[in-house]
Amino acid sequence: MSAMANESFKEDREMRQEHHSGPGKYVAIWIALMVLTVVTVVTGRMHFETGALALALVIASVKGALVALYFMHLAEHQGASRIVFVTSMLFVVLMLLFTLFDIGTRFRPALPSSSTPQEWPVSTPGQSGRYGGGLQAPGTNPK
Amino acid sequence: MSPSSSIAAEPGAVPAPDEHHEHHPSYLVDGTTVKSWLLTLDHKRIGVMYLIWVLLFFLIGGIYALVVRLELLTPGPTLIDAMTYNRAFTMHGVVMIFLFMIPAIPGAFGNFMLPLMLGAKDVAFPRLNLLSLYLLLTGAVIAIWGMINGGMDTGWTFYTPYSTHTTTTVAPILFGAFIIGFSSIATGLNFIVTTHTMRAPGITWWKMPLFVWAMYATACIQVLATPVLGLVLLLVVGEHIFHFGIFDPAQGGDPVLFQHLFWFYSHPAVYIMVLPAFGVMSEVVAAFSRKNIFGYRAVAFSSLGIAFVGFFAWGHHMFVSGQSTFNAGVFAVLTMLVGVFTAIKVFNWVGTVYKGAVDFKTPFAYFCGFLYFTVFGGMTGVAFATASLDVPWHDTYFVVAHFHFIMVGATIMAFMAAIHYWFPKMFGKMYHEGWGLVSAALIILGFNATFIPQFLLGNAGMPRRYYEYPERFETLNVASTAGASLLAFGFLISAIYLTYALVYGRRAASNPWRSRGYEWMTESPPPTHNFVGPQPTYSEEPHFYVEPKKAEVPDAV
Amino acid sequence: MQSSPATAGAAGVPYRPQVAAHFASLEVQNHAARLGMWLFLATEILLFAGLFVIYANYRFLFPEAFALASRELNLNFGTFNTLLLITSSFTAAMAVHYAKEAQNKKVVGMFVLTILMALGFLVVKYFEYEHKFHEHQLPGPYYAFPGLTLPGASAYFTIYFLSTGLHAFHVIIGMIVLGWVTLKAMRNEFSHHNYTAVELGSMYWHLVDLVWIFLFPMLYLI
Repeated sequence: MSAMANESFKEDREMRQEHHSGPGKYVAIWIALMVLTVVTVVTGRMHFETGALALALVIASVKGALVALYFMHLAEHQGASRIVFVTSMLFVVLMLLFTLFDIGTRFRPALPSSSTPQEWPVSTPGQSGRYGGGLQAPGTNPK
Repeated sequence: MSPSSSIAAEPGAVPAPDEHHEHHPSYLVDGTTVKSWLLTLDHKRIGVMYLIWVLLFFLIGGIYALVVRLELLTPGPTLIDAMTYNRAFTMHGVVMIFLFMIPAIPGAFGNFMLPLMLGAKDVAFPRLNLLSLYLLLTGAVIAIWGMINGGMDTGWTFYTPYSTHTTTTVAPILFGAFIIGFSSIATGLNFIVTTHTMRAPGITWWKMPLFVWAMYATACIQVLATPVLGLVLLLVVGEHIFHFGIFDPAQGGDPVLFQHLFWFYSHPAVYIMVLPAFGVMSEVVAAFSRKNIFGYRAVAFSSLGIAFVGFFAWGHHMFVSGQSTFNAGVFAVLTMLVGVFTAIKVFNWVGTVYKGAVDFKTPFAYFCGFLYFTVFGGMTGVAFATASLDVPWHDTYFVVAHFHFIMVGATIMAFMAAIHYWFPKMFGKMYHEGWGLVSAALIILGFNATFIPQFLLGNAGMPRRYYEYPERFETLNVASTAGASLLAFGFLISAIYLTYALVYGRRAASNPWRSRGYEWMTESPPPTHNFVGPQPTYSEEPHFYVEPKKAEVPDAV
Repeated sequence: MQSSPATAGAAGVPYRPQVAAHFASLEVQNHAARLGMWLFLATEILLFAGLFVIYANYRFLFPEAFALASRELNLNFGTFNTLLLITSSFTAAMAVHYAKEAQNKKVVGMFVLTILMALGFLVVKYFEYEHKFHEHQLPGPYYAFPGLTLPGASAYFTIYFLSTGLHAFHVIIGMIVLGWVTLKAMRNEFSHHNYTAVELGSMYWHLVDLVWIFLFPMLYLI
């Protein structure tokens, strides 16, 4: 018993404490998840002009958080398990952000030719081909 | 393993100098059947098997390298035709990266040393550990089968759309790499869990040896990045067979997206290759300077820092591939952060040597080479991070020389240092020190002779992966090929005297370097369960040398 | 998966979990198994992340085609499958609860329900796929649906088949894992001291659910 990292003691204690919470919590989470699913389907069918995707993603994130926190017991775990989960999520977001930054701010002729990209909220010089050479009308390039 | 030690397994055949040995045979002789090796769960035996296999893969990759260099000896066709040349450099990259660099130090020395350094009896999941070895071998067999039956000509980066349209055998090689990825994940997962749960009493996070810190950071990258590569490789195989067009511009796909996903793994993979090397060197520099590591926490943190920042830098491989200028700027700045963390390490190593009592043994010779190559390669890396400088240098021999300075210069130096430093620990034998220094000198010189001409070639504009080149580049190419031969000769000498030492070498004392590393607290070679009797207590810091100028324990050498 | 090598032992009547020789205690072993499982799940998350990234980028490039193509999917099937998977996740969580109370029969019941729902999920998925094949709403060059000819529609169906296919593969793996744990529960192995296998198996199942929670709005609702 002496040869045990402190982390494992703590982990074990946390797991045992959780034993006292009954199945009521699981039922509550289950109902919440069902309700949220219905909500996302109903709002999804309305096809909002703006914010439909954001709303769907927020609802999905809430649902995902409920599953991770209560079904997967992340709420009771301290330490490493949480860090692992949060870090993996962080890197998913990182990968999403940087690729979307790229595709949003890319020099437009370098995107797939048949694409109809959405407007990017901020325009960058690289997009319009200011340094791209010859793709704009003559005389409009800065030099 | 070695014939002399298998005799020692019989009781009484050899007068055991240490009474422990009779009851607790070393891991090398505890079971001598083939099955006891192939199905072992002992992390030390798995480490030794890893070592044997990665050395074999190193040989294969090295042969491909020599073929490439020989082909480039003259401006025109020399030895092979253009298609064979394309296959040769691809295979050199694939074998060296996926089969040697990534598994080498974690698989061989990480497996062997990590539990010893943590005072544990084994890694957390011994079966998974064995599985990772066999996954590596399965992937290797599939990939090598593909190389023999056709080979691949895309370069190790498998850029689409070429890789989805080439007629060479893409599928088995990529599928092999996919399986090797699982092996890498398994190793990383195992090391993280081992570090969290298997530390002996007294080894707190801030008392872990720096090699463990480096392995931990490496393992984090392996776990987080490798799955993305797995998915990408599967997609490319699928594209090659079914032509879905996800990455094919002719069908509305975006090949740059492939590069994003590919480098999301493959840039951190560079740190999978180099962080273990940093870990080895942190051990070696303290042991042979006989001095506490300078700035222990800074070195430990910078390993994690490199692992983290390494994930934010992948776009610097794509400065000329159509990525947006905005992204290029962001990635250029973030890339330079890696240089900050690496510089922290370099300064701390130099600070450790400063006023130490340097014992210039073979591992330290490799450390010197390592320091020079890392600084030189790292500085050119910072230059490359500058997007505007990258544009003319991109895909020239300057890049080739740069990453070989880091990959070979840092990782192979560390690999060689690790072999020499831990040889007595792993096999209980001593190699010939003089030959060690000679081969280290040859390898370092040969390495410089190979790649410094390539820096010059790249700066003069010679592109990489080309079969022919103009005549004005011939002198430097000849110099580079000559250097490669010298390098190969150096490795050959190492192979000979190390094999000789394995069989006929002098029996090593338990701690021939008088190192204060935790792994040396047990016998050499260690008994099967790593420790005999009560577990040692670890009260001091790692790398704890009280008085640098004095050798404390004159028990050996 | 391989994370609990030492929990598989001979089935005695009062089942004593075995501690592998290299672990200091059962607590350490359980901690290691759980952390290993979390790390494994992290790799799964990043595996799917690649597909999410591909989806996000192509959706940005082809917004109209993706919006119209997503309406070609059968939302009723999708909603039904989502509710099914969430409920199966709930029963898997209940199995862990019962395992801690050593009610092995209820563990078996819950897992059998979970596996049945997983099977139902796959059956619904089969009908969806069959419909797509029938309509030639297929990946890449195989796409030949006359109702929607915008560029990018074939990319949508490539991503649809890749992500739901990979997810369905995970459903099958999850069914095998849960089936194996169910066999152990039939041998009355689980108790307050030994429920790690149930917990890890159901964690894997929750991950399958978690991925679907994100796939569903992405593919069906945008």
